[in-house]
Amino acid sequence: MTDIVNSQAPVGRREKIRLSWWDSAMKYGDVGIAVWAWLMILFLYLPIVVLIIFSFNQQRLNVKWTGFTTEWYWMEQRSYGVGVLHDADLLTAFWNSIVIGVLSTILAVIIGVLGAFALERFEFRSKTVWDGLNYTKIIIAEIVAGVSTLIFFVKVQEFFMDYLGWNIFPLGFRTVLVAHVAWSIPFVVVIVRARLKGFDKALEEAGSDLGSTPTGVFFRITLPVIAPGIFAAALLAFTLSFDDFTTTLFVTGPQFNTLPLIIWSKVRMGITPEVNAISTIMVLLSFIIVTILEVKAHISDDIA
Amino acid sequence: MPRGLGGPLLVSPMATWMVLFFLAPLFLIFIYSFGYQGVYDKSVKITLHSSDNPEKDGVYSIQSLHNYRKVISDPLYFKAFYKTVGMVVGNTLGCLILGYPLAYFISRKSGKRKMLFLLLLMLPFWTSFLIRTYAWITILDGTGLLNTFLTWVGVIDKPLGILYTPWAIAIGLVYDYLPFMALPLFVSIEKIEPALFEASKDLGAGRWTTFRRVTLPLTVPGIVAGCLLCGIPTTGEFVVPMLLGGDKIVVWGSSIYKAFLAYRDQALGSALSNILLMVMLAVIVLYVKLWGTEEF
Repeated sequence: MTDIVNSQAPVGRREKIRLSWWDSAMKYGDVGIAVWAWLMILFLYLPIVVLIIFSFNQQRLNVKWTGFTTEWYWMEQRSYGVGVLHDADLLTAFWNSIVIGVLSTILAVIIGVLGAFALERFEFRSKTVWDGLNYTKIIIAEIVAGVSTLIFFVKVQEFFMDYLGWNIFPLGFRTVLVAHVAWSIPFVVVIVRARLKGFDKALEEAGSDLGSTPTGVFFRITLPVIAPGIFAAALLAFTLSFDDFTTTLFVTGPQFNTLPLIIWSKVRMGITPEVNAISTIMVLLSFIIVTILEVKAHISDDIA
Repeated sequence: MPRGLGGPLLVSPMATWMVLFFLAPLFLIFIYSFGYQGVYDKSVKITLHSSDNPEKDGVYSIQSLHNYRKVISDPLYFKAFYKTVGMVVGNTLGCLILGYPLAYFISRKSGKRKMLFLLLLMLPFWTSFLIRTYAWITILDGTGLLNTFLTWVGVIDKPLGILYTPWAIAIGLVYDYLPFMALPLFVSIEKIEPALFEASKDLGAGRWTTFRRVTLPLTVPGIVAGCLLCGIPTTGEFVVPMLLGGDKIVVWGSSIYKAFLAYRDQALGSALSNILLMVMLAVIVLYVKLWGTEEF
């Protein structure tokens, strides 16, 4: 393809269009673009590499390299800090993030898959409303959703406590879970819908022609075909929940912390090697998981 | 497509969730933004009858624009507003300029290499943006890597103070939002029929002319979608400005953060959020009117 762009135009034609100075400069365009692209890749990865390297630095107060250590990972409580694997607050928050992530993913995937089916396969009046609402939720600044959900939970809690004595939405685990599900649903719907769009309906028709019930067709044909889409959606939903900071910051209570909230409170104090260590663990985990899944997906693509 | 009860039935869990935990809260902040926050009793009072002395009675009429008046009359919010506009425009343009050649480069690769570069582009997106923003502190700090490096090379004699300036915010934002711009650009460059480049070449156009007259016009939908995906979420950004811009630079998002978590004035915070929401909705509606919903 690049050859087409590079090859010389017919000589007779060239006289008719005057080549600008830019055109002659662009002879080296391919090299320029490649250099630029590699610089961008460097830009994307440099901070992450720096983060990882400095999680092994002995120096605590600034980024001067003073020697290699792994104490920010393993160290027991000392006067000047504690290794991340012995930091009780951090471990609790990590566990909370995992629990919230798993539960919100399950809920968001169930609700989102049903919604995607409704929007892609059925015709009904309010369809455009839900569609528009989903896209709006994805694109608007998260802070607005965060603060409004906070006020909503406070108000609902007040109402139920005052009139019925029910403690249904104390700020904490439940409110964070509900808000994360609301945050993930639109993303699940978009991904699963894209998978449903490329679905060959003849497969389903064949299934029912061969005498399968609609439920049978769904579980034995439709679900296996869209499974990669559902899996991708679940992975995204978990990541969104696990990394979510803005919504969680507003809707949680003082007793319930997730990992990003702990990181925020540490980062506000400035550079600390502990944060580098947590970050390194999180970055490497997500890189390894995503890379493995991506490579696996392409290997199976090649086989198919 | 089938009609009947199937669709509404399947959509109902999602609809319930979205109405309860997205629409109802937005409606609530709309109401709250007209409310009045008591000084002693920290709950927001909203009543339908007006009170002439809200400070004393602790109530304010629902027609009251008390909070909006506060926002308009305080120069602090005016400053926050124009700084936010600058931040959004800067981030969007920055992502566009940095991202376009990158997207072009990836779209010209074939098969496995294309997938590899897309993976490289998307990988950082899977880690927390809080961590990615924090990483820049290490680099931009007065004693940080950039200064150490530049001093070592001999370009500068005393450290550059980049951290806690608008430049630091710009770097952090462009870093966080680059994939959101590069992906839609990549998709729209991919869509261009290769024969068009060939035709342009055969007709005697040089590379620059081909870019200006063929590639650029055909990728306008991608550019617009990318600008929207970068620009709209940036309006409410507060993490990057607070971490990399320090306390001196206050943008709209950080004033909402402060209203809720520092002054605990939910009514004022609601008014600020509501203004932001209206601006975002206006841009979305404008986009849909001009371009339709196809490009999403």
